[in-house]
Amino acid sequence: MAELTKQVEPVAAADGSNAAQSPTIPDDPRAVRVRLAAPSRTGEEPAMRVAPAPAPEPLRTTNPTVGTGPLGGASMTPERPGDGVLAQRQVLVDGELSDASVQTLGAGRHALREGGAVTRLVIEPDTRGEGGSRVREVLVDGFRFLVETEPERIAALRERATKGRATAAHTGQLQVKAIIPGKVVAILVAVGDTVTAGQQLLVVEAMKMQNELRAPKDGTIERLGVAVGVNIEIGDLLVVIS
Amino acid sequence: MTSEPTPFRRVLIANRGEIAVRIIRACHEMGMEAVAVYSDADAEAAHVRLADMAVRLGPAAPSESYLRIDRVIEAAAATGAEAIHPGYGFLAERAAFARAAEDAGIVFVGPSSDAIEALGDKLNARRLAARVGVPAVPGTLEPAPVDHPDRVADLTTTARRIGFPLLVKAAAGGGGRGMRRVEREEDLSAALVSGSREALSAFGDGSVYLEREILPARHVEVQLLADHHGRVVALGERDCSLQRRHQKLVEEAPAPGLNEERRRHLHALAVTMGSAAGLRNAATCEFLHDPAGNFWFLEVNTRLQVEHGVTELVSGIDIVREQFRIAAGLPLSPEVVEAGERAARPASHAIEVRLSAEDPAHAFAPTPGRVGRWVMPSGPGIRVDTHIEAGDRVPAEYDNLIAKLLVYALDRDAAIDRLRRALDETEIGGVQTTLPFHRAVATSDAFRDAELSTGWVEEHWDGEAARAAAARRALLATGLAAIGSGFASTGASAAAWEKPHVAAGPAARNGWRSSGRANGVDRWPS
Repeated sequence: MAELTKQVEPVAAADGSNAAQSPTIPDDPRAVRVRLAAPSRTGEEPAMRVAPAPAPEPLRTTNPTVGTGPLGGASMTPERPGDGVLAQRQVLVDGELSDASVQTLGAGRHALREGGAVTRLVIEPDTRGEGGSRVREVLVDGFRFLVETEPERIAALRERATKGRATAAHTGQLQVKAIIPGKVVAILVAVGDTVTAGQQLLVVEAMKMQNELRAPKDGTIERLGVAVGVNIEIGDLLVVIS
Repeated sequence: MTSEPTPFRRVLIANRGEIAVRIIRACHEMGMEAVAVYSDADAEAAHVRLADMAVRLGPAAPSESYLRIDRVIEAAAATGAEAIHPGYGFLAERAAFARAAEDAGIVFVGPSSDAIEALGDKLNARRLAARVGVPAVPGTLEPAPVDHPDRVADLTTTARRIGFPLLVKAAAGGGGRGMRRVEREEDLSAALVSGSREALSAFGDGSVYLEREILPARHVEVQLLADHHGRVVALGERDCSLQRRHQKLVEEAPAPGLNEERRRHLHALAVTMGSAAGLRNAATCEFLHDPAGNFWFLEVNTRLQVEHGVTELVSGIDIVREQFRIAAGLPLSPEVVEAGERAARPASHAIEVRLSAEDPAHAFAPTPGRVGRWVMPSGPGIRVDTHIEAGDRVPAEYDNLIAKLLVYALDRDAAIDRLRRALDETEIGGVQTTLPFHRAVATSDAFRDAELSTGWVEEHWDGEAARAAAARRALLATGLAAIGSGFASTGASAAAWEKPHVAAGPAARNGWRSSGRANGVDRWPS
């Protein structure tokens, strides 16, 4: 999943859906598509497809591991039989066979086992979602994510329907949106100005700090979405550069 | 400890957040009543809940509430408070505030207004250091003529002599506000203007000056306590090198790598500054420590520091309690004097991490919001100073510090082990915090080897990579759990997912466990 590290400019708006590139997704009705949901979704992070392996191999038992997490060194056999093993054995992750399982530990806590590594994480009850999808807050390594889960077959249908629209929306415009809430205290450009990448556009005061927002690319200021003194929220349109 | 009369009957705490809670706790331990003040954003905040009385100051904006000297003094007078503790931030280092309290016949728990003026103005402090032979960071001793563009040319000559890169700093500054790093001569005037503008908006004083940037450097500071009888004691030093944009992230006591002789030298420099300034009560003398072993005086903070707790853990002294005793005119307690004598030979180690509502993967941008899950660590050697509970709001108007997690142990290695364990127990939802960064620090070889510098964060922290690695596991675990719960395969997909929410009682909290049992284990693989 190295591509996850290649994020686009975080202030840039991203539109359209982008499914993970995977060769074969089995037509398994249990398959799901998971992706970061806004505001955790800041760029073009790809979705992940998770499906049961087509012909499950027998359970691999007692594979002693030297884990790095708090459960490191535990055996692969559930410690508490019957208690909350949600999924185990082999799965297909973006079409690739993988040894991964997740076990519930109570109160939203889960243990993810992947290879020899164990990660303890929290998956909260869902908060929202559209259609057949659900959004849950997930805490891993101190990071919090909103993760949207959708049945794979619904995601595939939706993708087919929106494919044309996504390409049409790509016009070379860059919408710069707020990634922090705060108050606009200075605007240093005007509509029609030519700007170069790195040039200061405006100053946002948040939590006593003045944050200078700079142009992510060369271009012309096509639109200003804010004025001095205005309070902004995450996701508010600040500037359109063409 | 012998029982002695309570220093004051009633004290007003002119602050909010974790520090107000910390001070209220000291009041209650000493048998004093605590009066809280609050803005509309804090009407239900922890410090209001804990206090014996609370007085509304005004709307959320600090300038209309916590920074209103007149309203705070009025509140103290109206409630019959005999003393005001300012905490840190807000009015803590405003000489005008201390003076207003003095004029109203209310004891200000801190240095005198004259000492705050002399030491709080960094240019004044730099001139004082020069007078008493304490080496200060090279730079200017007078405010830069920002309003006189014709005189900026002279300043360029001075800047060239100091050398680039250099720092533009606010004379009234703190926490990096008004500070600008200047790499090239041609950027100097722009940095002076923008630094001065930020300083003016943050402190009401736009004076800025120039200082050489010492890199690499460690940030080392000495905790001072001084009574009204001329005694100044150094309680020990702290290393606060792990900073970002001059905001401290991790602090520890003692500073690693100093021997007893260097410690004595450092503490003596701080005591010299404190004595020369006629300091009373609590203050901190900050230095930069360069690789050659020199200590360069930076500034004196005439207040309780955010990170005072690590010194409390190592010295055994309750600094806030001592502040109240000193403010009441009592001499430094024998415990403090003894702790001062031991300070160069510390026998334990403490580390503090600041959990803040900031996104460490996105340039530590503020993340105000409502806290969801809130699980703090506990057990041996742990102290958590916080004002937050699950469901509390982190307002955008104020500092984004939501908890200080402190650990202590007999030595630094054991303290780091404990920190790692404590951070594993910590769970915070609802708002992104600096927790991932602190987890990385606690497992970092460089940190364990005490390779500390003010550039550490830039050198050792790749927030985007850490976030991407965590995101991948978040997706995988969520996907696996969804499959296990039969989310997609049931005809009405939402039903299996939603079912646990119908159930009442504690089990309802975890949406997936019961559905996992019902649908996952028995059903898959089928």
